Amino acid sequence: MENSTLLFIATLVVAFIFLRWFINSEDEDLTVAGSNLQSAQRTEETRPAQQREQNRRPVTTDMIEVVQSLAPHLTVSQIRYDLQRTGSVQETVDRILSEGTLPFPAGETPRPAIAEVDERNTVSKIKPENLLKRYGIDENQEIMPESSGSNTWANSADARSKTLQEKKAEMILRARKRLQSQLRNEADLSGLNR
Amino acid sequence: MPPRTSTAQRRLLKEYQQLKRDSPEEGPKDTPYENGVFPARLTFPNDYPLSPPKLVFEPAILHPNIYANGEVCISILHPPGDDPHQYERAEERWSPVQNVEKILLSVMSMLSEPNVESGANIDACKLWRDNRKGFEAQVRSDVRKSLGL
Repeated sequence: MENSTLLFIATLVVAFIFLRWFINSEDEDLTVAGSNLQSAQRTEETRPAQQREQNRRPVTTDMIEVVQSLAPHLTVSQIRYDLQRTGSVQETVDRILSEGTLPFPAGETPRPAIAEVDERNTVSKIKPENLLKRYGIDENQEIMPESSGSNTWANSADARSKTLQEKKAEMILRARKRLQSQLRNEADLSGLNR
Repeated sequence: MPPRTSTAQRRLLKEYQQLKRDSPEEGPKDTPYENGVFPARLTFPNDYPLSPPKLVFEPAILHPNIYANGEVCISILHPPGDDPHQYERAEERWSPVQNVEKILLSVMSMLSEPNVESGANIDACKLWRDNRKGFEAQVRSDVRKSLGL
């Protein structure tokens, strides 16, 4: 009993020390890596471009894909260019997050994204079409009463398409009637004002 | 053996039966689209309801959120997932719990309240913003012509 309690406490202490050491050492690693990176960047900036070309780090398509999935608005060449500089997905992503974008490799210019014309807007089909003609509706046709059994589910497809057709005609004729009376009201009003 | 129907067909049949009982209609009141009847075509993908359908007005109508070819651009018709431009929330976009009725309701509210911030038809957006009277007059005259008046 006494022994197991002691053992338990000892294990806790060892675990605590170990964890503490582990976390500390990771922090140190990070700061070392950070300062390395800063000095590397500084030297890279002062180095001539030719030398930098040779200093490129290997970039795999996997790395590019990871970055691309996080930043779909960037081109593959942009991502590859920055990965070659940093050699790490983490750093490139950090840069994207802080700057929003990546520099373009030499000789490539950014695309004017806003000036892009949507192909869905190139052909305008905004032309009113006479619906009465389109659906073969006679404008003097009687409007079917609403409760003509059109709300039930007919069994055959023909019957269903027929009720649908009737419903369309009814909708268009009703709308036409409403618009007609509205236009008449407007005409009356402007007549009164004169 | 009864004909095999896909999930998409079964689901559409169910929605169609529901819509027949109780369907939303026509251009909303107190807007230039009032009294208008606008035929549109909903095109369903084979993997509906996983992917959203496409809604195209035939003929196209003048509206900031409808492309000049008639295609409607609203968030509920966009594929599920997060917007790459961080503009729409994921829950506004298409998901299998949405249905045709919700799309139609969204289109009705789109007609009464255009969203010019994420406009589709840039010319219509400009007209709506800078010359509201002209925009409304144009829409009204299109509605009149379509009803043969």
